[in-house]
Amino acid sequence: MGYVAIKGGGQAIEGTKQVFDYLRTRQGDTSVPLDTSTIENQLRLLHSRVISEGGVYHPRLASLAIKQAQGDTLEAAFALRAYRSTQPRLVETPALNTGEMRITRRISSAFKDIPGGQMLGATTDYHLRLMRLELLNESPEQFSEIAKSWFSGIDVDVIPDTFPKVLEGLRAEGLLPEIDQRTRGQVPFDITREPLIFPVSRSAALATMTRAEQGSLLAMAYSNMRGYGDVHPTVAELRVGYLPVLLPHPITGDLTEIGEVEVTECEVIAMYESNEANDKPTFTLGYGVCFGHNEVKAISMAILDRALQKGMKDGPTNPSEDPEFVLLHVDGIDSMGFCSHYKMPHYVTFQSDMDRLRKTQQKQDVKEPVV
Amino acid sequence: MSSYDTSASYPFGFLDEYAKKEVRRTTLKAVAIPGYQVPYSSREMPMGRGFGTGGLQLTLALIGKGETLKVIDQGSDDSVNAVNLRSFIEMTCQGIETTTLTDEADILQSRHRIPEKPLREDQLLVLQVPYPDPLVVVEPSEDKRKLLHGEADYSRLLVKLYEDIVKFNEITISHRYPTRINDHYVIDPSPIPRWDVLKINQSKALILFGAGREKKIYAVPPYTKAEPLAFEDVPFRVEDFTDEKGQRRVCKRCNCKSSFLDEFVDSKTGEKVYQCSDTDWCNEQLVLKTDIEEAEAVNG
Amino acid sequence: MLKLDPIWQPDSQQKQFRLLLEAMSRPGECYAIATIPEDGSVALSVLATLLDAEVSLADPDDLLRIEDWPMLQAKPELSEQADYILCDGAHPPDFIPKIGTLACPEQSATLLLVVEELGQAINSQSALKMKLTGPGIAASSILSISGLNPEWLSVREDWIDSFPLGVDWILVDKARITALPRTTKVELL
Repeated sequence: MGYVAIKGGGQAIEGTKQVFDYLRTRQGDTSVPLDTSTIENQLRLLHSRVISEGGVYHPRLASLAIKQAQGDTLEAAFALRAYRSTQPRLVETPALNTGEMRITRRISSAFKDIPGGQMLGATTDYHLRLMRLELLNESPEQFSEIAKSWFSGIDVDVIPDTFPKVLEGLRAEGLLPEIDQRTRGQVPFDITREPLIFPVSRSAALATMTRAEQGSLLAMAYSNMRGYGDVHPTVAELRVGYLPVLLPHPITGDLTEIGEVEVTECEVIAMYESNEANDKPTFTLGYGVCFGHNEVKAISMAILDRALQKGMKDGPTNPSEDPEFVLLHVDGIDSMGFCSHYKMPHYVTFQSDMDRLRKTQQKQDVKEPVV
Repeated sequence: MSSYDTSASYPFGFLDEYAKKEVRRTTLKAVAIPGYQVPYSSREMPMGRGFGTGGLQLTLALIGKGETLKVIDQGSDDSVNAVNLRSFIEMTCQGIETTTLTDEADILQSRHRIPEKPLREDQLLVLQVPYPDPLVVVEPSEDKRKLLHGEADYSRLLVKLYEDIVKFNEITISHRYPTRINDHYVIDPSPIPRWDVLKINQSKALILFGAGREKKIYAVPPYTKAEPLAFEDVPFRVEDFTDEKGQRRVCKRCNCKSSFLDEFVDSKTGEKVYQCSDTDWCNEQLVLKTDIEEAEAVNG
Repeated sequence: MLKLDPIWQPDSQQKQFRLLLEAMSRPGECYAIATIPEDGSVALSVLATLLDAEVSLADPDDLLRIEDWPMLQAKPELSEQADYILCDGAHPPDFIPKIGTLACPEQSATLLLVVEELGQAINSQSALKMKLTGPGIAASSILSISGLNPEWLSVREDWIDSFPLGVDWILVDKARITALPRTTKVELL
């Protein structure tokens, strides 16, 4: 096999891999390698974020990605995304109904009480953000005692598996727009197969945002919330739980559950508007959903969904309503890659820049000779 | 070779066949519409966006067993980006050969340079592109830019160049010089220096441009007109390698007077050095220089 | 055991595609097909290289067999809407293909025309002889085609009249391919 021998550049790259792994492992004799299950369980929300940005629901590999990237969420999501690229597409599920989610948390800000009740679940919303110093010296015994004792005294049969959707109530009252039947049976935009060609569909915007980098989405949504926008959202429902993944049985054709994925879903209600000239005005909606437990992302996505729908219909009046501005800048893999590329050699282009500047300076000197 | 696991079962060319087909279909349309940026979905690669994933996808979709590949960055085979890409392609395309010799390559993938040696009809050049669209500097909306391109309306770009001339007496664009293809589409030829822009005109080889992050492929077919934008009274000019005394600088290593030179400070002596950017060209010239010296030594 | 004809295998498709790329880059040059299928037409081998479930295909002259369609995976479509159209060059054209838009000229059809014979000089009374100029051609070149109804050339003039709008052609005979992208000027001799 005729290959080019490794010289200076190649050896330098080998060196970077070695020192990177040294930093990961230099903790000391008493340290143990990170366990992927530990990452999935004890760094649960970090894990959710990486699955969501990686765009493939693979909990074990998401943990591995976090481990090998030494905690860098952009790098970890990148590794997962690249892995996804190598997997062949076997089959597509039909659209899955989040009304069938096995709920672990579900709230609505729009109403004091809702059918099924407000189930707060594992939220940090009402915690005091004080340092829990007792966790500095948590012993394995204290650790395992927490999980062991949690279920004692709870009547699990009383807890409902799922809850009706809050929006259904509003829809029944005619306060929401009718579902556009034309969207039934439409093929959703496939962000992994098609490039964004503007103007894009709402489906394309949602597909882009569901695997967007959380901070970018939050910043854009925040700009809208703070006053650059008009959405004024109320959270109709936020639900976190496990969505059954259904595929047609190979012989009977019946939809069969093959597993479940954790998702976070948020539906926001925004300012009302008229639909057509003579129709009654209704509330407008924004929708956000993502893999894993990530509420900030789902809410940001729902707000941006509403803002972009408005922007696509009436023309953007601020950056958060501009589809090109939002959708082209929220993908973490694209943005971090390009940011990092500035560290690569650019000396030929710089040589060219120096030539231009020197020439321009020369012309300046000729115009105004120093006396 | 690389320390990555080469036993992972990737298909030849890393990309699955659907990804390759999409790149191939896109490339055919790009060749049929010279200079037009054809959108494609652009798969994620294990190296970062901005590190040549567009050029890489082209090479992976095109290369076949038994073909020979050369990869350069800044003109050099040994530059870190080239090394990284080359090892990845070697790892995922079992059965190809790689080379540093421009002459031996069937496919050349390059960042920021076109080789000094003119390419042949049986060679293929793939350039890595960070910014495919020259109109970005005058119009931020892609939607609007596509219409301007369709109508070949580059008036705002020309006004921008003209503003440069008024301000500085020069067109200040250094690399990425806007170039009109086949009298219609103006392309960003990638961050090659102006030195290399003239090689695109009537090239014997097909030149393909891959932008991975921006998800576009464009092409200049062989024997196609490629004109850098200029004005009658302010012509297109390449980089100037003359010194203060008006002498053309030469490569310190091989004495070449006609190549694009890298300028750097020698890390040991502290003095300024000029050397051919194209390392294979420099090696070839060095052999010639040595031959000449030996011949002179023999003939006295 | 299902044995795949080589035209469906990745290695052959890669080689076949490189020929198609050469053909589109150097209009009028004729290239011997890389992989003649053991079962199926030469046109099928070209379609197999390019098509999958993401694109649509029209076959107005019924040149494909029923069993070819599932392997190609392409969506069947009307000629006016299709991404790829397989045509018998002997019949005159009776549709207007997609020619793209100013903003998206690539959203235009690629026609695969099956003809009798392709070459620089053909021994046939009815062969059309043409001079080609444009991108991909150094100065000019000569191409002869037999089995192509001359009306094809006149509708092509209409379809490619407003660059960048247009359609792109791939022509096949029993063993060779050539291509005429929209940029090629054809002058009948």
